[in-house]
Amino acid sequence: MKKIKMLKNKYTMDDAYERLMKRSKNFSVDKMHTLFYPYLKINYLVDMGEKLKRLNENVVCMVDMYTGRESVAKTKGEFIEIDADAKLMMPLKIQRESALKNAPLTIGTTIMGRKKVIKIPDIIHQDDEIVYKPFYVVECRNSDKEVFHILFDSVLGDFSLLNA
Amino acid sequence: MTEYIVLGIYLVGMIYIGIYWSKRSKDSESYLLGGRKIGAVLTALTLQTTSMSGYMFMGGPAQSYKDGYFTLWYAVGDGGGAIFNVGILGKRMRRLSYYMGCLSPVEYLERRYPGPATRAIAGVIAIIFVYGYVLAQFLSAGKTMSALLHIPLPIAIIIGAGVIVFYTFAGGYLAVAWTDFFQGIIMVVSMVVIFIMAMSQVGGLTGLNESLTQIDPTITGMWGRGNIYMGQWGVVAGAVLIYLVGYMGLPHVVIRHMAMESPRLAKQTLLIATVWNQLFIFVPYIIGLMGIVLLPDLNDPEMVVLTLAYKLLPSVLAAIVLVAIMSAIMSTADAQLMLMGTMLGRDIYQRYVNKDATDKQLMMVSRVCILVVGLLSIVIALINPPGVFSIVIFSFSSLGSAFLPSYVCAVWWKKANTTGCIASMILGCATATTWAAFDLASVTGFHQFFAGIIVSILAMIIGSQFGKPTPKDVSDLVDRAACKTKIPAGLATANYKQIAPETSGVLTFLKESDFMRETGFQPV
Amino acid sequence: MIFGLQPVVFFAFLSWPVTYIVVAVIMYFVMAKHDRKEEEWEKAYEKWQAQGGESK
Repeated sequence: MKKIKMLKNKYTMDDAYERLMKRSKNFSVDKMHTLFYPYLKINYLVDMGEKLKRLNENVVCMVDMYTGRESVAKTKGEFIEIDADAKLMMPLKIQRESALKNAPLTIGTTIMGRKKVIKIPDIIHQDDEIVYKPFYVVECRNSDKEVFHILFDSVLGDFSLLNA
Repeated sequence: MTEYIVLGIYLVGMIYIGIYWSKRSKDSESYLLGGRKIGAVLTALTLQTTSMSGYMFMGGPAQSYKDGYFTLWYAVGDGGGAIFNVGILGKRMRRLSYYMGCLSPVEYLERRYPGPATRAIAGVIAIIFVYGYVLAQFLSAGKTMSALLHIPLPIAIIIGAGVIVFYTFAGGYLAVAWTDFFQGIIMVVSMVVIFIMAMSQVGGLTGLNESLTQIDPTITGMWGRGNIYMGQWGVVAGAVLIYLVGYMGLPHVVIRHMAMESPRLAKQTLLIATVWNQLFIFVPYIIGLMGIVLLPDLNDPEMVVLTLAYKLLPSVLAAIVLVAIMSAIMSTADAQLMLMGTMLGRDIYQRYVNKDATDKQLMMVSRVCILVVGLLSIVIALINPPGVFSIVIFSFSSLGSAFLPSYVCAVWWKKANTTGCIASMILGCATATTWAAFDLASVTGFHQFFAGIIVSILAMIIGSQFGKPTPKDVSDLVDRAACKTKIPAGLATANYKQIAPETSGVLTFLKESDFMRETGFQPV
Repeated sequence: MIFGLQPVVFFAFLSWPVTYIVVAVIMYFVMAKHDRKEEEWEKAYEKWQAQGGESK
């Protein structure tokens, strides 16, 4: 077991089941298991300079540590600490240094688009940490008893098919 | 004189329908399948009138006149035939044939069970036995007209068969369907009128049964007059089964599912066809029974319906009954002739002779084939070589045994593959034909259809364990025809784009790691 | 005796018309229910096809 910081899930497994069942009645859910997806949560201070000080803000960048995709967090997000089984945690495929190196560019582009200013801000790294998002891997069976899998995002409530 | 006039009006009416639809059949889909726009009532009536030939006016009542209540075993099976036929095949066959773009029931088999041999074998079996049917119906039309109107047989054949050939050639499927519709109305009204009139003469159902019991108690027994079928459950099973499920193996019947306007109409078709069946199937046999009481000295039992009509009805109405008999024969013959045109045009010409045939060419070739087959059949019927009638004894059982498992499994069993289909067609047909040819039914007590269908089903099940499996694209279409896919559509359409990157990451992880195995999941 | 026939003969031969019509009516309603589900399925399937269909 390992202590990790996890995004608090809004949807329990029962909630996930209900959401799936609302979409169709022609299948059954056999099993559900949590899978922890790794991100690097980087806190940045966006410094617009002395004259545009009022536009300064703290921005959180989440870097997907499996695919490397970066995104700017829209909401603050609530985090909790839990003990998690290492077998249920996806490994980190991206190096921390590489994530830290590429993230500011994404932040800068997003911020400039949002604030509509010409001045390039300073993206100042504050801190970073590895956090995990809990997903549910759902094993289902259709009416012909054929198996298929769904990935359920327990924070957003979205889901998609895990087609091979 | 009245009957000549009434029949003349009827024949002119049929010719008019042929001409009317000839102008409106613009492409091969409308010529061969009515543009797949046939509504529920039309589908029901064309389905049932095609299934029931002159046998219902002549052969059936003659049988019950000779054998008593036992003959009603055929009615017991036949009465439920539409329930099975439409209930099992209707919707799914309509959908699957549409997705596969088929215009003929032989082409349908080839697309579902891909392979060069499927179409060739199915085509040969269908063409031989459906052609046998066409010949027998033309001969039947001629003989009936000749007997009823006292005109020479050759003239009767030329007139009767000639009209059928004309309106089928001219108007295609729509002419066939609409003539079937009017023929169906005439058939059922005539039958019901005679039934009511005759029933009033015999004192109702109770009066009829009491009179029959007085003549010979075995007439109202389970085993036929003189108990000749005592204990022969094999014959009974065959009699019930042959018409309960046999229609699902007849290409000229199942094509009607393909032509339905929409799968949604299947339920109306089932209901209308079933109600129609109860009127039209039980009634002829009971009329035959009434003939035992009302016409005890009848020389030719096949004339029982017409003789009762002349005895009980005004001459105009009796003439309409005569027309109804012709209608019954024609409504079956036209469908079979139409099917011959479809098969020869689509399955032979377009498949093997001219793969790039345009729609117009296909339509023209189908028309020409109908004309040639029709004229050739008239010539053969005129010559009337011995044994031609016996083909029809083979036809129903041989066709049913050959094709029933293939049509049913096409939409209900994805694993049914080409090997199974070919084995089923060859062995089923061979068994039924051999059984009939050597009259093994009298030795074994099992009807040839019963024997043929058992062999055919076994051949399908065993054969499907060998050879190439059903291709995935076909398998997917079968699922789609059943309105199901591996992933329920309601889930599939909810694919959220936001978690697409995580999805691909998780998918890679699950394939590369032991997560699935360790958590007891099946591999992804 | 039912209509002048032994009961077993009556039920063997003449009870079927009513039985078949009742079965057909029941099937009508069952098929109507399936029609509604199938229409929903077809709409969802067409939407899915428009979105790109099955990935494999």
